[in-house]
Amino acid sequence: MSTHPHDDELIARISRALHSREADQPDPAVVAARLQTALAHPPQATVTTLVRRGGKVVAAGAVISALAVAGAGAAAAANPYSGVARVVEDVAQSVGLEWSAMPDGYSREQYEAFWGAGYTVEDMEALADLWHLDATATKAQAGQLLLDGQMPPVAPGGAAAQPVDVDQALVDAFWAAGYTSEDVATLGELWHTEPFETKAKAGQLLLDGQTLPLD
Amino acid sequence: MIAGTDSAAIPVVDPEPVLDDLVRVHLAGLLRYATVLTGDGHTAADLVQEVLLRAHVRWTRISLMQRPDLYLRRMVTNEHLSWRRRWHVRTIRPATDETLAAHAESHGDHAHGVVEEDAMWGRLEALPPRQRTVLVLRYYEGLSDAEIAEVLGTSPATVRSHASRALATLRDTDLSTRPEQR
Repeated sequence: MSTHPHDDELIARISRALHSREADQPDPAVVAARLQTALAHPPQATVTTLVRRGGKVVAAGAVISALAVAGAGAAAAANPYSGVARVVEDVAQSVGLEWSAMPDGYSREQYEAFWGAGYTVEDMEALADLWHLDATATKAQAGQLLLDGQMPPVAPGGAAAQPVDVDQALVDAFWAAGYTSEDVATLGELWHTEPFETKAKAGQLLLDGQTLPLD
Repeated sequence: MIAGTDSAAIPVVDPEPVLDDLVRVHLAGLLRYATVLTGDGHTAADLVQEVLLRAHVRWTRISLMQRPDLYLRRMVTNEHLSWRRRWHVRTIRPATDETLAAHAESHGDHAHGVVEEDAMWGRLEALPPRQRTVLVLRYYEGLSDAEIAEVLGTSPATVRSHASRALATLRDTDLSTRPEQR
């Protein structure tokens, strides 16, 4: 695999340096206990403001979850607890039947009725705008209407999908122009940027009518 | 994938066996990987906790994959790169181990070995994050280039390119910072 005459020794030293960091490994038992605690007692304080973000992450899917987290924007960077709170919200919504993370006034039945009817995150946001409610209250109200046999003013799937945010629109522009992951890697090396930042920067250049510095 | 569909499709899962499965099979390995990836045990614990909480929700699907272990490493890697992007502007970096090592005197074989490892670690930390990740996956996790490509969501050719550039950089900095070794 190595082509340079001194690479074997170099690789051995790299390997030793990496293994020397093993000693800092946290105790798995401690982390396991933290996981159990997080699952059993999700924090309630930030639930309301994070529901939308949780929805976006779910909507974006597992494979590009890191992009969705980045796309959630500056708020995520400003709040060091948001990531954990978002994940816990995902857990609470998807697994916990009667967990305390379900906010007051939003029941599991309403949740199931709302999502079970085929509504999307975009629909929820449209309803939230219409009713001037936050995301949780919107889903609770729409879910309750459905449970009562009534139809909310936006039909399931009725709201057109919107880009998650400006960055995501830039990334979409990049992919839409036909570029590949290889191009992302090349540009990332050139600009010393992370993949998401690379795609957003490249997308902005394309939208500005410029060409990308690729062969 | 739409949230409504996604949520509606999730079966009622008993969380305890899922957590047991994740902890028993994957936790220790992921913590080791995250520690070497980040160079910090506390960050590694936070990183793995967040990833496993998310994986826990999707475990029914992840467990059906051919290589759930690689998928979990992909999640840890992406989370690491994402956190790093958010944090790097606020992180004040002290003098690198490489700088310190260049001024350090030799104190026998063991001390010299530690200094060497710290110096090499400093050079690894200075690499672009994806290049360093490739080295960790290749020389610490012992994965093949095809497996690394799966973790990084890229091609084996790109993996080889990252590795080659990283080794070239390390080779160069090695020569420039270890004149006494020539």
